[in-house]
Amino acid sequence: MSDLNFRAIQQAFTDAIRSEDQSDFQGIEARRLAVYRELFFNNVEGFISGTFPVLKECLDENLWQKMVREFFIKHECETPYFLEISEEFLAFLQSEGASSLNLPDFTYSLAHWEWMELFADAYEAQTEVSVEAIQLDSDILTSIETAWLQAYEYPVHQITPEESVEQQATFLLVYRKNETVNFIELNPLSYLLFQALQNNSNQTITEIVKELSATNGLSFDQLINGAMEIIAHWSDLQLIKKIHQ
Amino acid sequence: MVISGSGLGLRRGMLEEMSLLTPEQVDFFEIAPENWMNLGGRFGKAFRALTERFPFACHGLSLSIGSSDPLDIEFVKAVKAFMDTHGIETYSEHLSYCSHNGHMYDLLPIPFTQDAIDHVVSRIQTVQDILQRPLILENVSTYAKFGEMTELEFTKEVVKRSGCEMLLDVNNVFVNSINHSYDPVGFIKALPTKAIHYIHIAGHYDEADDLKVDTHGAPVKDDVWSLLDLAYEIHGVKPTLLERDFNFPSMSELLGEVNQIKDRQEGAYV
Repeated sequence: MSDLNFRAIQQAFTDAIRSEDQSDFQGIEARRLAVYRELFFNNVEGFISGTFPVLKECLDENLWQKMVREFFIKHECETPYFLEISEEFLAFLQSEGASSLNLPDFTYSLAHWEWMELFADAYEAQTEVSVEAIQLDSDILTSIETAWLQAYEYPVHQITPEESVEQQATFLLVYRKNETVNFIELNPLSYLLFQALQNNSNQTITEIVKELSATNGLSFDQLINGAMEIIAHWSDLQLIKKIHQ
Repeated sequence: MVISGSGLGLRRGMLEEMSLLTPEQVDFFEIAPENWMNLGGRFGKAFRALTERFPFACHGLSLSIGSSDPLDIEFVKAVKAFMDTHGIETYSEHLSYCSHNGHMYDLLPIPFTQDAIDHVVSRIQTVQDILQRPLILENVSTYAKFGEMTELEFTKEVVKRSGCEMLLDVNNVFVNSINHSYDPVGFIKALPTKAIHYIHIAGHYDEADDLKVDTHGAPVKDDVWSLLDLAYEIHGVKPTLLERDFNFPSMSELLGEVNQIKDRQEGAYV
């Protein structure tokens, strides 16, 4: 290959490393090419299985290998950061490359949930959790920075290799406190309430609940007591804080 | 803080144990910036506590200096900002490439050709302009070789033309000397002394008599310790780091190897 320029050599060699076709490569001993193929594939497989251990257990071993191989061959990873390879993998799961694999319907939801756990653990927060006392009836409130709302099509937090789950809208609130990641399952209304708090900049709880009751065709009186109760619970968990106007 | 003496690679998987080490046990730590940038929570906190107590070197993995893909300028700027934030002086990378139509997250052999030298030298200069310091490049282990030049000719030419420095990995010299049948002593002797910034030492895996794989998963072999002694003899004592990425032994066993580096540094005839 010495008459080729270095770019052409790199193209041919990386093609050979990515390829599933284990045939020989001009000028390189098969066992040496095999070292590269194994090192590279095992490295990528290690990143993916490290972040998505539940998904790995839920999939048949052959399907898992086929999926990771497809990711390795077809997906052009842009991120230089190793923790973000998991995000590249999520993007792959939503791409055409993954659609031919006949993966279980819950695959993306479960993978996203496993990624969410890693993301929450490593997230670089700009602000510390506030421990300031809150007046529920008068303060303008919003969520803390290390709380994330997620809506899934499957109860992803209950999926295990032994337990298959039915499709069911699932609302989860993930949060990090004292360097530990936790989550709470929410009902649809408390999901909407927390979302409104996340986006809040100038409304009191009464105003937020009025708006929620109007958009959801419910009476204010039906909602307000339950809303106050759950917000008091979030306040105890230090998931919400006061906005200083 | 500037690195000196003998160091250890910091691993997230051993963070708790490594956070208990004292400057009497380890002179400096090394990290892959790609694993510690943008990292908050418990890891970010432990890392900040360590950077206040120990000198650090950044040893990058994703720069891909020899790649045909475009150089990621934003990434290089982010590395610079990260080093400034944590007071880290040393940034080393690999004379290698790890991307082609996207990142592949492991090290590939640059073809030893004249056009590759032109390409690499120009990219090194761009990186050095952003970092405001010489880039330090490691000789990497390879299992295949492309191009008409030898590794030594290629490396010396890149160093000479770009003004970059070297991270001399004595294990990689040993591995490549077997894999590509050359004299490791001659290789080390021929490197320019003033370009060698620091040294790596590690264990490797014997795939076959004529094929070694640089796994960082085993204790350092005697042949490689001898090359470290030789490097000190020829080029003087340099800061030296023990790499261990897999099959972690006990902390006392790891520190035993770090102490062996110290003993050899103290006993080196220079």
